[in-house]
Amino acid sequence: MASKFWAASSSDEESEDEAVTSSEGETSSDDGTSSDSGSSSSSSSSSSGSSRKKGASRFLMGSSDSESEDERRVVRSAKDKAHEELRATCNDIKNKMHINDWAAIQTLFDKLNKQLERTQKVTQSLGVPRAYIRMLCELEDFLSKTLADKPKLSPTNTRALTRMKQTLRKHNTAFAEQMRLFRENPVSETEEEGESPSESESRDESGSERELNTEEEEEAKFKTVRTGVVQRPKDKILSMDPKEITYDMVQKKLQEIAMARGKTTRIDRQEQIEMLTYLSGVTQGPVQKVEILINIITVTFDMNQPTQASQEHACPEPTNALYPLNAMTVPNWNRCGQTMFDIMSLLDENRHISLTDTPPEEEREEEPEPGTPTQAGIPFCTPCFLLSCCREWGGGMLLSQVWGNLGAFLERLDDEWNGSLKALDPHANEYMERLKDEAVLLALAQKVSEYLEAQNELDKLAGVALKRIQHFYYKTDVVYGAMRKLALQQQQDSADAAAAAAAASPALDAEIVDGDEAEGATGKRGTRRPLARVVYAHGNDNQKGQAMLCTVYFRCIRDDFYGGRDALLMSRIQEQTGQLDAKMQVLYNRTIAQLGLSAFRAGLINECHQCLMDLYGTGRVKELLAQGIQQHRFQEKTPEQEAAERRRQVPFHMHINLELLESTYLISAMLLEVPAMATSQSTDLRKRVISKPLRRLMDNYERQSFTGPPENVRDHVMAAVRALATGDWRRSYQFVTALTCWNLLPQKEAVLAMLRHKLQEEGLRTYLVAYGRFYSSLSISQLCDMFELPENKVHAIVSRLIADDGLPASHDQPTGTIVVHHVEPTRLQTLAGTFSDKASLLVDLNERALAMRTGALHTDDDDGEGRRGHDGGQGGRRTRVGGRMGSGGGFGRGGRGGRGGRYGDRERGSGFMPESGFAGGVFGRGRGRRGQAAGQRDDSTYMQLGSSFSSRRQ
Amino acid sequence: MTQYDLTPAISKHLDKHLIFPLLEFLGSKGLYDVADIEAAKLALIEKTNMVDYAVDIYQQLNQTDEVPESLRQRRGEVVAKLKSLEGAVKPITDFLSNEENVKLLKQDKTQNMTFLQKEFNIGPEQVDALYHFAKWNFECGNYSAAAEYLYHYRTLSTHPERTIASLWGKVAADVLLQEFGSAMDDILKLKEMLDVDTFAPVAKQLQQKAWLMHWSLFVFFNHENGLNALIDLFMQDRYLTAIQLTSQHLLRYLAVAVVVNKRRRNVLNDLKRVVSQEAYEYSDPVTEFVRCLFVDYDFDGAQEQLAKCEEVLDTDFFLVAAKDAFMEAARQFLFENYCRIHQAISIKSLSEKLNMDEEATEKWIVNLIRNARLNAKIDSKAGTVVMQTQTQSAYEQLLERSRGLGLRTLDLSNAVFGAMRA
Repeated sequence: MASKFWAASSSDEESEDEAVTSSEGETSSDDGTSSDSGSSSSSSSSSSGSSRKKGASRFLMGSSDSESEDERRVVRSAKDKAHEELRATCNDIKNKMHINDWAAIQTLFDKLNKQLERTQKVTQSLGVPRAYIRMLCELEDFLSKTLADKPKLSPTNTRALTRMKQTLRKHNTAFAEQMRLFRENPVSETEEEGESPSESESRDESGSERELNTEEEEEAKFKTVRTGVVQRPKDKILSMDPKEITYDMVQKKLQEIAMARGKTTRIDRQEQIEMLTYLSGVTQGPVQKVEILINIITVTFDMNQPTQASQEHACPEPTNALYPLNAMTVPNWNRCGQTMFDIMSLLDENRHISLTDTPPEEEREEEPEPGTPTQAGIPFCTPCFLLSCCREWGGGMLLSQVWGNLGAFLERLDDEWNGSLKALDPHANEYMERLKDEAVLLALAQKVSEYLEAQNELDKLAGVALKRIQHFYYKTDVVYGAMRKLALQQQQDSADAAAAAAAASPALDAEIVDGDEAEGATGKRGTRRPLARVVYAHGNDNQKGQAMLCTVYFRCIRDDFYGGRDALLMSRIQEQTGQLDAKMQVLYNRTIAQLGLSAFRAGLINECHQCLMDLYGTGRVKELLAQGIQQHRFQEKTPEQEAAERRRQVPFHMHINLELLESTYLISAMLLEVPAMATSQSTDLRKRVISKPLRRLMDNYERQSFTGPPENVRDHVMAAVRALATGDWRRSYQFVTALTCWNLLPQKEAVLAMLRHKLQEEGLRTYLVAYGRFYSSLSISQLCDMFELPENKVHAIVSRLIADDGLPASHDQPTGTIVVHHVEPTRLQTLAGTFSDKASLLVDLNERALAMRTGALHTDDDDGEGRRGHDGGQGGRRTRVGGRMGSGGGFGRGGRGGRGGRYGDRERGSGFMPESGFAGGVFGRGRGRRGQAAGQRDDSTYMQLGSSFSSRRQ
Repeated sequence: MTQYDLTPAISKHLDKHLIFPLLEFLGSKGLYDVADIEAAKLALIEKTNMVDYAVDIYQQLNQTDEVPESLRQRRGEVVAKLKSLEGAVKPITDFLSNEENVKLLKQDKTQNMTFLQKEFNIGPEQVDALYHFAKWNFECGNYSAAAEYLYHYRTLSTHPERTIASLWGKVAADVLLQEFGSAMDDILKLKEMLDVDTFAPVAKQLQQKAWLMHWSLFVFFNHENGLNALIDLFMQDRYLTAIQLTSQHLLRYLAVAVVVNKRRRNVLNDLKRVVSQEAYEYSDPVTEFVRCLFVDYDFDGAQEQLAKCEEVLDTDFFLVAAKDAFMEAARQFLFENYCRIHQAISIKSLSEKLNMDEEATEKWIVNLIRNARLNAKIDSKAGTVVMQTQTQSAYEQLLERSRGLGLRTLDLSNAVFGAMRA
């Protein structure tokens, strides 16, 4: 603290200091102290002086003195402290120099260098304090002197001396220029410095302080002068007759407020806004009015800077987990929205005003404010209305460029809206209330995009279009209709209360309706398409990707699975999921989830499973979809990570219902897994696990000694799995339908009917595979009764089982039965079979090893593949082109899916899966390995002796 | 039946001149109104230079003898242009008309150019003119001349893009001249060139592949070994991708080719997959037949589709010739698959399925058995065919599986010791 230092130093120094200051600039100093509110005692002036910082910011400081003194001290103390420490160390070194204690000097010198670094960090400048340079000079001089004198020193000291000599030589080269300047003119900046060399130690020391302080004194004077000038009209302007207020006065006031930006007191802001609101009422022209309105917005944005600031600086207060959520208050938000509408209408009326987003060039470097939100490159807080430059371009009515970025304002407004939604309890009424504001936002966005289109600012237009897409894409027709109705209703209400309502509010609502009606006329699909097109045409890659994903999402919730999937594959975005930023990844995951849901609704179980598999494979669904924080047992998150995750969260109204998603996934997994399990049980084939999570659940379930009636989704599905595994599809269906989440589906009936049908089919398959071998013949009509399937369906399923999946049976058409020719192999035969398999595996491995050696692996690999086909590997040759679902291949049944994607080679590596979320790379690699392993296992697949169909299948 | 008519879809990928045969065919089938077809022809022809033909059609369409002024004028222009181009290529055609001269040309194109320049005063302009002349001839319907000039142009030209273009022209001319042998060669050359050209934009590559496949239909269905070549071409990864992306309707031709071509059973799996994948975007009786039979094992459905196939093939320009072969092969597929999963079938139901009377069915089956294509016996008392289940015994399976092992091990050891000795 500055005061501490002053307390430590002797009082006569203080008085000297005073004297020096007055000698420097008597006139200004007098002015300054007098205008300071009465406290003109020497101590207070020196304290305020010492707390001045150097640099360009002195000009900024001056505008308003409504900020409290305390505030200022807190801000600067760290810097001063660093300076003081630096100086104290210098003194120490000097003391040691007197006693020729080189060992101590050496340690102190190291300390000094560290302090210098810190000082530079604190002051955020690369300059070196003069005290430091002087120290270096003195050290150098003293060193050469000592070396010349060769005094008697202790061995440690001698060693230290030589070391010091070397370090100093090396070290000083970096500062050679500054030292030279210093030596040339040691007194140039501080008059009293001239005396110092001959003076005593204490004298010297105080001189060094003064050299820093004098500058600050100057600033203080400067500041107070400014304050004096600007101060007076402030009070006047409020009390003045509005007619007398001139353009200049308003302009000046505006500048003053603009310059006060970046301060962190709230009360201050409130006043400013009031002031600005008043000003906007008395402005002299539209240009100025727009300026003022823009200022109102920026100031309002500044009011909750702490939010932004803490987001910026990773985490200054990690304990406060809630901080990203304290968004703008609703009244403030409303005011911003209102002001935006005002600006828009002003701009509409005055076409000559144009907004630029490059503030006038600034020579002076600002002291970086802690709260400057530089996030997303939005230059909100760059103070632009500085005295000098403002006059240049704001002075006349002819120049009608106003600084401001509507797109950015809109974006910020949107962020704040989202932020406040995240902070609210989604089940409370306020959340609903807040949601209603979306209409305002959308109407505003429409206005802005119309304006931007007129101004031909296409890149910004793309940004706004994307924002609008982001508000539309997750809404189904029903939701959209409800929203429109609400907007209309609001208008009606305000019409009723027109007399009472403020003049602006009906206008605002009218605009909402205008906006919505324009959208409504073309239909929602109609709106989104052109918007997306705008983004594709003008956006950057990231924006295009987002728009793309939104489009896919949108199609998915409209049951256009194929359209969505093709669009997604066309974008080839799945190849780069690893490189996307977290926000995009979340969007991608959401899209994939919706794709899965739509596949399920369409009855495409396999596709659904492939989509959702990766989301559920990790067990981190909530995190991947950014719909809540999941706690992990084995992995602690740092507060930063947690904060980042919190910020990523999707507002509640956009959530994908997790219960529905989970049931969808588990049921689709069940439909695929249960028949596969039955096959592997009955034929001993070690088949691939289709769904790991389901298997895990089943293991857990089986380990329980007592199982109660099902309660949650998993219990239900597990019970269904148990029932289905015995072919009891009716019970299975009962369990599945007992899930409540189906009510969320608008097409519940259709989906349940689809499920029923699927369960019947899969039940039949499971039943035949699991119990077929215990029959010698089965009557088809009986099977029809059991599974309530039509005869031709049963026939088709059985045929397929026989032909594709190796059921050892055949139809007997005249009697309408299925004859099973299962022959249990004897023990010896089984063992012989195993043995021959092992032998062929051995040969395979040997060949492979040799190929590896000779480097002919590549061609050999292909051979191996071909042979595998002939040897009767499951499902014939590995498919070349592959299913369009890409990665599905290894996991699809019988290899029918294929490995590559629709696009052949290009897609093979990456496949379709979300490299989900944040574990992207690892995920991908793991996946690759698994695929390979599966392939290898295929080699060793043990063909059962009784199955005679492997050769036929080729 | 018009819903399965692929002419509109195919025409998008064809040259104007190549569409004429399709339209002619449609006209002969009476699927559409004759006047409509004639009008379509006229619209098509107006963009070409076949003015005389256009006049014919116009007169036929409007039942008049007069020639419209615009066409007459057009004729004058076309002839004038032809004359002027002819003048420009005079030196080169003179040169080429002499057999001896052509023999003088060497493999190396640059060398040829200098040689021509020196000896006959033929420069790049003349060669270019040759290209344009050939094109104009083609436009005028003078295909044989066009084919000849394009052939010579290709030997002379050094311009890579034009060489490809001239090859396209050559293929079209050959097809229209019905010289399918040379067309086949050119198609293969063209394919090679396209395969090499991997630097072109993806969209362009895709388009060219689609073109190639469509143009090749003319050749493949008329060449004796065409179906094999068709399967080879269409089943290549890149071309299959192109089919899936841009022209799913080609699956019909692929399916027919695979079904007819009995020797290529191994591609059946690929076909099954592609057909079922694309079912949501394209389906017609032929692909549905494949899907029903091989994917769903829905024999009744397959039977239904097969009946429809007959009509579809009958109205398809390319497939009309392959109709009988397809029907026969499809029937056999159906029967084979059916037999494979049955142990006893009554001849009566079989005859219904195969769309034949019982007598003929029995004869057919007997023939199959006699040709050792079917391991079955007829139980004439019960009126059934009894399949002999051909279950391999465990012993056989074991032998089967360990058969190659000895040889492979020997190979391995040879390789190892060979490497050591060397």
